[in-house]
Amino acid sequence: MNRYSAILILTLTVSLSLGALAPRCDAHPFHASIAEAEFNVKTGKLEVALRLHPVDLEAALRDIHGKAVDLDNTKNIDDLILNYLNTHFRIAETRTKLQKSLARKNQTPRKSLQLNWIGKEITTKWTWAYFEFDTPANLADYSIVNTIFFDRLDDQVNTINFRNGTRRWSRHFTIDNSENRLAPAPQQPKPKN
Amino acid sequence: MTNSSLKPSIYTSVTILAAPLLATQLLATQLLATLLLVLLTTNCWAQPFPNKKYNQEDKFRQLEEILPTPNDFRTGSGAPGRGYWQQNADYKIKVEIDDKNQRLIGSETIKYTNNSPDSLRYLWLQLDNNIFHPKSDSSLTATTSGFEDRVSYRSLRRTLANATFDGSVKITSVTDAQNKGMKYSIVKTMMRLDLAKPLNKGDSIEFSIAWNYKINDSKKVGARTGFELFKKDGNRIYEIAHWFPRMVSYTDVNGWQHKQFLGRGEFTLEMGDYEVSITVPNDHIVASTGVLQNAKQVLTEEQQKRFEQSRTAKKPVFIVTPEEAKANEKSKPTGKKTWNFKAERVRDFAFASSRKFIWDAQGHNVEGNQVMAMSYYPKEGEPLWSKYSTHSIIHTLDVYSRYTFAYPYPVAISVNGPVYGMEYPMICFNGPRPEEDGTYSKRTKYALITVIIHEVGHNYFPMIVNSDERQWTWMDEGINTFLQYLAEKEWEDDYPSWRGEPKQIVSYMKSSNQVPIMTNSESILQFGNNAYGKPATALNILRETVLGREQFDYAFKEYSRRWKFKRPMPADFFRTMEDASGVDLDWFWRGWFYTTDHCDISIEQVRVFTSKSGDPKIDKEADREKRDGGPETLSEKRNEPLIKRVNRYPDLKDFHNSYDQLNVTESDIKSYQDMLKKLDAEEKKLLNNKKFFYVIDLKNVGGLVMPVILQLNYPDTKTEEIRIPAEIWRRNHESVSKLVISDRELESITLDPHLETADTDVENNFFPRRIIPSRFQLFKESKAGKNEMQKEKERLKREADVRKKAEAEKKKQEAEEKKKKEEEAKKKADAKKSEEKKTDANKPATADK
Repeated sequence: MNRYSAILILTLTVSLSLGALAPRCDAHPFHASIAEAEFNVKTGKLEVALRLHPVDLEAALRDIHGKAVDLDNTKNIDDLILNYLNTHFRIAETRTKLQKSLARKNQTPRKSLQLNWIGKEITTKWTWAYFEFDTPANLADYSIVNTIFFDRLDDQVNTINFRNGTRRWSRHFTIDNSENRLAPAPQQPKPKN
Repeated sequence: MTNSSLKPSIYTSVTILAAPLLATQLLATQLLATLLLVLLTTNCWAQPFPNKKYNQEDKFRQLEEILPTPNDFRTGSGAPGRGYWQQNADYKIKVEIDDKNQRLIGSETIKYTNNSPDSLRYLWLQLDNNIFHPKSDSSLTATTSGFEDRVSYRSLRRTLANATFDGSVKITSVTDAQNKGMKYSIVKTMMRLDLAKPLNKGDSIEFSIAWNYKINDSKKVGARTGFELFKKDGNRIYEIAHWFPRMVSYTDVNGWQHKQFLGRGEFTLEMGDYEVSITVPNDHIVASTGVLQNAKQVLTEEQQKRFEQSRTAKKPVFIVTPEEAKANEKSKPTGKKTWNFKAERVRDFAFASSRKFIWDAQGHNVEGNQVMAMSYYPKEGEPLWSKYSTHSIIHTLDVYSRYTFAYPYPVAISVNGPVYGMEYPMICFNGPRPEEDGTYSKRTKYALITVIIHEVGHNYFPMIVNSDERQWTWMDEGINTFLQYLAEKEWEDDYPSWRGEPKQIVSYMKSSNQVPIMTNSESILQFGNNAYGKPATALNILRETVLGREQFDYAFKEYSRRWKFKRPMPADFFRTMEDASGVDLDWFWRGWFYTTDHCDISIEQVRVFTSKSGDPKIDKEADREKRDGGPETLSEKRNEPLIKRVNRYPDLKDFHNSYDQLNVTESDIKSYQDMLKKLDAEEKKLLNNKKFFYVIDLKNVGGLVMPVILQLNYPDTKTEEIRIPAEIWRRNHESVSKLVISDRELESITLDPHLETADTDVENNFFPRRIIPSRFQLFKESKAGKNEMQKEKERLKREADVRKKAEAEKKKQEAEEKKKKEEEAKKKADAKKSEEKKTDANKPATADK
C-alpha cells in the first residue's frame, strides 16, 4: 500500500464527521481531465488517451513524492505518472455494499485490471497519457474508478468519452461519485414525442 | 428578434389559450396534466406546446418566450432604455493591516444614492468574508472531502483549517450621519440596514460602519484574498479583496441581488467613487486600485523620481529594484505609514501590501488615455515577472481597447502573491512563479502571460461592463476568455491558447453530464468548460463562421459601448448582437446558450446525376452502356457456350429477336431535330454544357443547428468551398439534402474542412467515409514507427560496428602477420648470415659464390 503513502486510510464516516471542505476559490479554473477510451475489437484492448492539466499533474506528483516534479526533466517521470494512474485510474470488479464491507473485514484486495503503459506526450498546454487494459470478458462485472486530482481539487471533474464501434457514451467522475460502471447503459429505443 | 413590446411568457400564453377550454373541470385537469407533462418532458426553452403534426422541435423559434419583455429600462434592441437607472455608492474608507496579528481593521462612510424609482426602507450590504466562518453555508454545504474511503492529508488539513479558522467580519459599529447607532441584521454573508425613514427616489444617505476580521492564510484557507507567509525570510504578502462591507446591487431586474456568497458565483456591485487610506507597516509597499494621492509622504525621493521617469519610459522602469526589495526583506518596521488612494467610477476596490515587493512601471497611451501599467512581485517571481508582467498588461489594454472601448482608468496593475488569478478594478492578483532556482518551464511562462491577459482583461468585463457575476458567470468569464484568446493570438505566432478554437471544445461538447451555459453560477457542472470554454468558443464561431469578423466586431463593440459603466443582462447581449449585426441569431443563442446540443453533422450519402443531351445517338448509347455494362455474372459466363435452340432452329427468330429499343431510329433523330429548332441560343448552350448534379444528404446527428461548410474535392487536387448558412435546417433540422452542380466530376466531399464548427465526429464529415485513427492509435503508431526506425538505425550501426571491428581486427592481424613474417624473414636472414659467417669463418672467404 506504499503508493498511498500520502493518503490516510479512514472510513468515510470518520471523514464526514470531521466536517466538510470549503470550496476552492480559484478564478481561473480548469479542474477537468478528459479521456478518450476506445474498445479496439482487433486487439481486445481498451485504449485510453488521457488529457491532464500539466500544472495540476506536477502538483499532484509533488504531493506524493514530497519534492518538486518537472514533467520535462524529472528522470523517472513515466514511472511516477504510471504509479499515479495505478491508484487513480482503475478498472476493478464491481462490488456491492455487502461485498465491500466483507472485503474490508477480510482485507481481500479488490481484483483490478492491469494498466499497460504505452507512453506520454507533453506539450505546453496539456499532458497526454496513453495506456491500455485488456478488455474483460464481461464488461458488466467491472467498474471504472477515476479519482484523478480529487485529493487536491474538490471541484475536479473527470470525463471519459467511450467508443465501441459506432456506440458512444460518456462517464463523469467527481469527488462525490468516483466510480461508474464500465459498460454502457442498455440502449433504449429512441422515444417518439 | 422583433422589438414587439408584448412578449408573453410561457405561463401567460398558456392562460390566454387555456381560457376558452376551461369549460369543465375535467377539461381543465386534463389540460393541466398535459401541460405538466410538456413542461416535464421538454425543456422550458423548447416550444411551450407540442406539435403532434410535426415531430420536430423548432430550433429557429424566436426567443420571445424566454427573454424578458423589453421595458423602459432595457429596450428590445438590447440598449439601456430611456428610463435606465442604477444606484450609486461612494466610499470613504480607512483601513489598517496589523501585520503582527494578520488582522484587518477598517471603518468606512458610505454615501448611497437611490436613483431607482422606488422608495427603499432598508439597504443590504455584503459581508463576503463571512464565508470564512466555520459554520458558513459554503462550509456546511460542501460535500464529501474524501473518496473511496480515503481522505488525503491535504483535504484533512484544509477541512480542519476551515473548521477552526474564523475570518468572519466583526462589526463594531453602524452609525448614521449624526453618529447615532443604526439597526441592522446579519443574514450569513449579507447584512440588512434598517432605515429610520424610507430613502426616496433621488435621495442620498450617509452612514458609517466599523469592522475588523482575521485575514486568512492562503496556504490553509485558499480564497480570492489572503496572505502568504514566506518562511525563509518571515515576511508576508497581503492580497486584500472583498474586505469592506459593500453595497448589494439594487436593480430593475432583481431588486436587491443578495443571493448568498457560496464561494463560486462572484460579485454584483454598484459603481461609485472611492477614497481609501491604507495604513501598513512603514517599510511596506502598497499596490492598489486607484491613484496614489500622497506619493511625497510614502515614497522616497528616489522612488518619486523613478516614478516620474516611468511615465514616459519606453520599457518598464524599476521603482523598487530587485536589490532594494531584497534588502527590504531584512528590514524591521519602525512605525506605520498611510497610503491614500482615490478611484473614480469603479465597482470595487482591492489592494496588496508587502515589504517584499519589487515594483516596475511604464506609462502607456491607450487610445488617448495615459495609463500607468505597473507590476508588483517578490524576488520569488523573478526573472519571469520583470520580463513579462508589465508587457502583458500593456498588450492586454491595447488589444481589448480595440475590440471594446478605450481603457478608461489611469492605472492597470498586476500583483504576484498567493492568489492564482483574480480580478478587481485596475488591479489583479496573479500566481505563476518560476522554480526556486529561477528557472522556469515553457508552461509556467505561458501560464503567467495567459493569466495576466485574462485578469487584466477583466477590467472590461465585468469591472466596466458591470454584469451580474453572482448570477451569470459566462457574461464576464466567457466573454473575457474570448477576448483573451484574441489577445493571445496577437502576442506571438502559435501562442498556446487553452481555449477559443472550436476543436478544443469538442471533447467537452460530446460528453454528457452538462448543463446549458444559461445556468446560475452555483449550479454549473464542469465550471471551466461551461462558463469559460464553451461561451468563448461560441463567440469565436459566431465571429469567424456565422457573422464574419467585420459584422461581429461592429456589434460586439456596440455592446461594449452601450453597457460601459452600466449593468447588462444576458438578453441585452443577445439583442444587441442581433440589432447591430442585422442577423437573426435566436437559433444560435438557443442552441449554444440554452441547450446542451452539440454539433455533429454527417454526410449520409451523395447521389450523382448527369443531364441528358437530348441527342438520341449520345443518350441511347449511354443507356445501352448502363443496361449492358457491368460485369458478366458467373452464370452468364457459363451459359454462353450452351447451344441455344433458336440458333439450332433459326425459324424461331422473329422481329423481337433482332429489335433493340436502344437502337437510334429515324423518328428519334427527327424529334431531336424538331426540339433543337424550338430552343433559343441560351437553351442550346445549356443543353451542350455537360454538368454533374450531386445531391448531398446531410443528417444532423448532434442536434445543434450550424452552418454547413462543404469542400468539393476534384481529382486534380483542386477544391471548391460552399458555405451554407444554418438556416438550411429551418424546416427540417434532422436531415436535409443539398443539390450541388459541378462542371466536373468530384472525387470526394469534405464537411467542415477548416474545423470551425466544433463538429464532434469527424469521420462522418467525409464522403467517401474516412477512418480517422484515434489519438491513442496515432500515438502508438508514431511511437512504434520511431522505435522501428531506431531499431533499424541501431541494427545498421551495430552491423557497421561489427564490420569495422572485424576490419580493424583483420588489419591488425594482417599487420601482425606481416610483422611476424618480416621478423621471421629477418631472423632467417640473420640466421643465414650468421651461419654464413660461421661457414665463412670455417671456410676461406670466396669473393663470388
